[in-house]
Amino acid sequence: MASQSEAEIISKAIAGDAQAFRSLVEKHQGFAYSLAFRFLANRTDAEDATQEAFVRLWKNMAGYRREIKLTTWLYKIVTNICLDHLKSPKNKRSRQLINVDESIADKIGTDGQLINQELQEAIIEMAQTLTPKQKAVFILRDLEGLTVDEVGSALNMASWNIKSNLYHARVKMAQLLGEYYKEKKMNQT
Amino acid sequence: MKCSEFRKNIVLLRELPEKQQEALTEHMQSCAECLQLYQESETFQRSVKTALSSREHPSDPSALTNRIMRSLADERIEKNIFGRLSFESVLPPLRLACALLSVSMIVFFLFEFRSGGTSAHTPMSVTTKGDVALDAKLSETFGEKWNRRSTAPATHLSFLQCLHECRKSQGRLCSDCLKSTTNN
Repeated sequence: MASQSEAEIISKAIAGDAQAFRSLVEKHQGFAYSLAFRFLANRTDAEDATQEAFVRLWKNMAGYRREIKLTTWLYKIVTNICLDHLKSPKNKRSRQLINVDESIADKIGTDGQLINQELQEAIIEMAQTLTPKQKAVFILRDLEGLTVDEVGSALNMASWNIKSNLYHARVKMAQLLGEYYKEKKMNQT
Repeated sequence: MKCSEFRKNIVLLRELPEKQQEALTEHMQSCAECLQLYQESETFQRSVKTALSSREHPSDPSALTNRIMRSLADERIEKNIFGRLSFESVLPPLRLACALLSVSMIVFFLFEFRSGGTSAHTPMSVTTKGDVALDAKLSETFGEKWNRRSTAPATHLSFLQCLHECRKSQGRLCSDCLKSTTNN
């Protein structure tokens, strides 16, 4: 399966080849999971969202248009699943209690990696205070590096709406990040 | 450019058209306060980029793959079950069953019509316990006349009921019953 191109594997998966689909899962699940984790900040929820995303992908494989990259399609599916999760009443209730579920002490790596990991976790944690739309726009544009058009396609949003949400998200995140650095400085001294 | 306009736009610097970006750059070269704001914004962007360099990965990728593939298998089983029960799949056998039922009903009525409809009354008069008892009573009352009733089976049941009602309510026979027994 490794020698085949992704286009061939996709064609086989469209035809119902489960083994071909498995190789797509193996290749893209890491990306889908990390995106879901940025939205949900919880390992279990991120795994559930990844599973649901691939089930949806499998169900709608027949409608896949080859001119679109599979990752673009996955962005759309994962984002929609995560937004549904964030908008659910159950999640709204527990939103105030959300914490990144693994302590930094559990991470093994060099100091540099630890700092990156800590900062990433801090940013993900800060992002939990944004509204679902602000969060989606911020994650896709600033964390995933998608263009405004790609974000618009993934979220079915107009450009002005993306920019408006992005503005509010960045202002809030910059404010929180400023406080984070201030706190860190105080702890160091 | 005014400082208020700069502050409003600096947040979306990367999303602005090139001309507007140039105007912002020009402004901050002449305004120390806005330059500081730009630097803060840059720090924020850098922090985000640093955070971007490490991604969260599933703790056990192969377990996640297996979990996803298992759920696909479940989905396929469910799809097969519901696929078989879909309207389109149920319709042909349903049509066949309706056609068979219609044909059997037509055959039954044709058979019934040809046999003159006698079969329906005779078993009715003897199968129920009450009818057998009444039959014996009437036979005792009307003797030979009552025993010859089988020659007119179509009228037998209504006559039987009429007789029964007359005896029960009046203790004697009505004119219709009297006429029928005389004819028989």
